[in-house]
Amino acid sequence: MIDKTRYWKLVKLDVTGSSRETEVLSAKEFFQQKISSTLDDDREIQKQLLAIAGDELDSPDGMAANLCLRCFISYQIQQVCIGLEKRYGHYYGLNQQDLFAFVLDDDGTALFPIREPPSPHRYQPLAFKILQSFNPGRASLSTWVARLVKSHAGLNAFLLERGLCLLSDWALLNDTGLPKLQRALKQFHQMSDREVTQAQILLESYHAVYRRDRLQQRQKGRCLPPTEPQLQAIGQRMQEQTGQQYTSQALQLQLETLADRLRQYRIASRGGNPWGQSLDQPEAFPLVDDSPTHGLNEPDEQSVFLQFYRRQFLTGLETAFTQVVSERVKTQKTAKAQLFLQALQLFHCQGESMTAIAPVIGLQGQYQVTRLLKLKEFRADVRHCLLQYLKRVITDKATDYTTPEQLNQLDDQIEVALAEQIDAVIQQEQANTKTPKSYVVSSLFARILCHYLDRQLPASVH
Amino acid sequence: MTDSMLEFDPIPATTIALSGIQIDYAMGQSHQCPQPAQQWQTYLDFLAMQGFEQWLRQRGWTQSFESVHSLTTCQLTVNQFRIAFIPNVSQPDSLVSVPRAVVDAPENLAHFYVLVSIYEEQGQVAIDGFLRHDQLHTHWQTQPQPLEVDHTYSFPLAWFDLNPDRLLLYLRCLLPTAMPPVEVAASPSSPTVPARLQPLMNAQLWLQNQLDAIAQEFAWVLLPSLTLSPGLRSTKGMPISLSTSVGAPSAGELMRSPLEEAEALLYQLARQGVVLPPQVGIAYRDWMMASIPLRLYAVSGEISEPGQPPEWMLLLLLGAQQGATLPAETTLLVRTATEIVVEQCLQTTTNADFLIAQVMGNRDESFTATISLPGGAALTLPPFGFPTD
Repeated sequence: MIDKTRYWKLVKLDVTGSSRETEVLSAKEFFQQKISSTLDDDREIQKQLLAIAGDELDSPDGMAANLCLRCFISYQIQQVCIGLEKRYGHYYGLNQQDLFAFVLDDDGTALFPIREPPSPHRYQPLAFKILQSFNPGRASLSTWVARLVKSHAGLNAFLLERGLCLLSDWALLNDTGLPKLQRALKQFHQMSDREVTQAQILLESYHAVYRRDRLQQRQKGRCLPPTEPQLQAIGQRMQEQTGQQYTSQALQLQLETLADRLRQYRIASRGGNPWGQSLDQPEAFPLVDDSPTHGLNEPDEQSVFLQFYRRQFLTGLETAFTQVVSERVKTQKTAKAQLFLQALQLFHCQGESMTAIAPVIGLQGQYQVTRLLKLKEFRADVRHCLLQYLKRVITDKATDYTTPEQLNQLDDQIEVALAEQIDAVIQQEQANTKTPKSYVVSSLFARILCHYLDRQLPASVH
Repeated sequence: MTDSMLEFDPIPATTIALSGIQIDYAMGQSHQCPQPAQQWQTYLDFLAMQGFEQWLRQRGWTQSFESVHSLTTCQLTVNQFRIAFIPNVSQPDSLVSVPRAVVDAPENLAHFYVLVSIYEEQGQVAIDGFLRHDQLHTHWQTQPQPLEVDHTYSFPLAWFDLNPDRLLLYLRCLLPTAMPPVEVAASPSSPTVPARLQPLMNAQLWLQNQLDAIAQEFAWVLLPSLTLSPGLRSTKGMPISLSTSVGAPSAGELMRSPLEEAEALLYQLARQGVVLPPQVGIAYRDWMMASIPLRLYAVSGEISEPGQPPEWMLLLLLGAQQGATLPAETTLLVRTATEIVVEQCLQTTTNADFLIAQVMGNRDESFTATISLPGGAALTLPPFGFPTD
């Protein structure tokens, strides 16, 4: 049983930026009078509404049918945003209000006839673009809404800033080479050799035309659908190879279908590799990397190493902090550099969690603090700097730097020495708890770093 | 239609945004490339290189680095290490597509091959990891990769060290002498010879009924060496007449052992007038390529003529394993370090079952064989040599 109220309740933004449902009386009356109450299938209902809205442009019925469709679309848009928030909100700091602002932009007042060509002078809500491009033969309206919402340029730019990207079909095709195409279609989709060959010719023809034009016309950013002349050129190449003729419309559909298959393969193969961190555990990404396990098999090895280097180690660590922090600060804009120092201080010296740090320094959430601090890189830079320092001061040990393996081992030893004190903090941090106070007082890393930071930051920030 | 929130990719927090100027520069460089099909790759190479430069600077790199680029090369020299780039656009995937030239072209040799994720549409890149030249060498010995239809090699992602901080460690702290030097060829050679990545397979040992470690790694099987009776050999210094193919064993001889098959083939060749040394070592290898079960016999022997410097002979017999047939247009190509010496292609019109290549050379010469199938799959084997003790 479908919810027919979706056809007369418009979801729109209220003054606070939240979504609110409003009943549209004209749509409700029209729907209840003109659409058979026995119809219980969205596709059928939408087909009838589209027919009326398209044919009876200036009639009250046409306008009402148009409104019914827009009500349905507004609800679907809202659902997509809520879905995005549910899935990504926590880690990427998204909330539905942020998303609504981009896509929930139909207030139901203006009239947007389906068959009217889009006017560049007039703001057109997303619902209008959805209706105009919708082809009931290809997809259901709710699928089409989801597709257009997720590929909305403004929304995409916003999500990219938060660390999420959605490739367009055309970028996905650009990025796919023939060996990958074969793997996707043959092994994953179990398609026949003939189908695979056909797809190969299609993709090669697309590459020859679309990639060439993107470079020649210096197009940057979002890849737009191929133009009519591009589709014709692709068709021409296809015809040369297969002897068959293709209409532009058929080619576009074939390309979109191919992109869709590649996307499915992409999603399926995302598990188990560094880019494929499941979003259910996004924390697995940035913080703690593989702790070194080799090179320290004997328990005494570390202490011997540390004893030997102890004095140099302390001085070196301070030198390393000075160098790494000042270089980081140098490469960032002044405002951001200040934030970085402040965040570093709050994290390492005050023992604040990243979640707690975010509002203090005016950031949205933990993910932004993570990106600002880049702790893993910070630690690696400090280690390397320390190694360079040690190399300079302890010349008789410099021979240890002569093979990659020896160098790795030294790096690992320092990492173990530093990590023992830091990892505990970072793991705590991942659970969003506060940094244990004991770390703040006992950790060598923290002590020296804080000593350094105290001199860098004006007294006002802590 | 894929309708799921899963369509979104999380991009690493360490992603580097390229400026419009940088992207423009890469596009401009791609226009320099005369082959349209190569322009996109050139564009990606330059995106990768610029992203890497920016990454170095972000990590506080203050020393200078210089870029080396030509039509086929896009490299950086950092702290005396040569760095080449492998743009990775098709993640997530367990295989990385590597243009052939990166591996095969001598001018592209580098100490480190850096894997760079390219988000072309977003104008962003991420440094994923790297592969040391010596590690590439080792991997290539044990797992040589066939050439794909689009002239790329597919490297397993597992070959790469996915901790780019490790690369920074090397660049910052490693003595340049710590890495085996890579030699840069004076001029690009063509056709390209991947032999530099390959160890030599000692075919002389076969005569002593031994296989070296390399042959064992590549699953060669040794057959007992044979002393051919004079009657089996064509006599006197006849010029080598080489038939390009021989027929299948007759029906009654099916299911022969490899040794029996090899003997029969040699016998048949000798009868056709092919000159064979008095004693030959034989090894063979079975493998699957593009779903076709192939078998390659390699026969070696010493040729000594009075008053002549000693030479050696390599005879290759390529066929399908029993029960299968070699597809038409299968090609067997043999070359020295500088030139192609034999190229045999199985014609549709013959009913031959084996492709044959016989080559002779000085004792210090080695030969590299490449087998290509009509679908485009190709395999280049480690070179055969006959070194003096």
